[in-house]
Amino acid sequence: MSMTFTIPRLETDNLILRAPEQSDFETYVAFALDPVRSAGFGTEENRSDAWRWFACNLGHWTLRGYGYFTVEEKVSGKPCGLSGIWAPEGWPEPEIGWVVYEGFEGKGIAFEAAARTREWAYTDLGFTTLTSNIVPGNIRSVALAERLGAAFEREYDNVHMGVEQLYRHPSPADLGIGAS
Amino acid sequence: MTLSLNVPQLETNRLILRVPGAADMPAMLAFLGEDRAEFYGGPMNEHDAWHKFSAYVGQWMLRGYGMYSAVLKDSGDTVGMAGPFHPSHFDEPEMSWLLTDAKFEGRGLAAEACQAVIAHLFSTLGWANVVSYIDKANHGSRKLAERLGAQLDTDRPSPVPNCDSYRHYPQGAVA
Repeated sequence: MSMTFTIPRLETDNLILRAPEQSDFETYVAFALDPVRSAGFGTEENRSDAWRWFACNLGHWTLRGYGYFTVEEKVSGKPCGLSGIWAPEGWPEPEIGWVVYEGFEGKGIAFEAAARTREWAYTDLGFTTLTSNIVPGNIRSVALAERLGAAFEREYDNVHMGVEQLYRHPSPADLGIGAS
Repeated sequence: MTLSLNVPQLETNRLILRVPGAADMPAMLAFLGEDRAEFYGGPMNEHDAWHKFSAYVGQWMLRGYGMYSAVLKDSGDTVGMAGPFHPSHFDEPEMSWLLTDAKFEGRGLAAEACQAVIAHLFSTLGWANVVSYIDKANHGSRKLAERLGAQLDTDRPSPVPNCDSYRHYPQGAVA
């Protein structure tokens, strides 16, 4: 029996969103073990925990049909971050998440990747609403969420991250996307 | 991009062994939430359990091999998992197994699953041997390893604390 599942390849002006590969692991590890950079995403204690998250993300694609893409910068061909839809067991509802790796800030990468991810989720996955969970004090993520049109809805206790602020994105209709 | 994994489904008298998926989730999350999961990092909450199970699934995409889910042919129940677990901090894949519920114990199901997987690793994938790391307090698994013909390997100790290495060899091979 063969098993096939699809992780699409999405494009924007400057980025490619594609399936994570083993060769992307080192760039993710560098991020995940850096407590400052990964504070809003989930810091891992060691390489083996980071590998487990990396494998878990591919499992997430298999189990849910979506997960985090590796975001690749077209001009350099390098992985520059992650963007995707995340909804493990215990999450309040599916969220759009984004991460930009060191050296790639200030280029609008997170906005471009998150907007494309959201469009894909509304158009291809058929989501009718989406959220983003942000750790209080993560000013940059709040600014990006607001730039994406998301609005603060409530604060809640996340099973993995502790207290988080839930932002709700505009609906497909608000964005003029899809049939809904 | 399409990731496709061409994994033959294995079959025994009573079991189908296949790549794990969403159908196995309820049984696995229940197992990892119980005291019976003590040698698998449990008991843990639902989120951590999902994370762990999801990583078992994702390992297949990264390595091309992993732990199969073992499903009873007659009922469709996921009775356990068996296969090579290979996180980044293990130098080699580790033949691992578990039964999801106490009601599946004592029926030879873990042995049946392990024999089929190990035979596949040796005869189809051509592995020369495979190790199992077993906690000194896990008497059930120790007994099963011995029943499977695995031998205590003191030359290559386990990277997992409080565990012994048991090494499986193809039948007839000299250790």
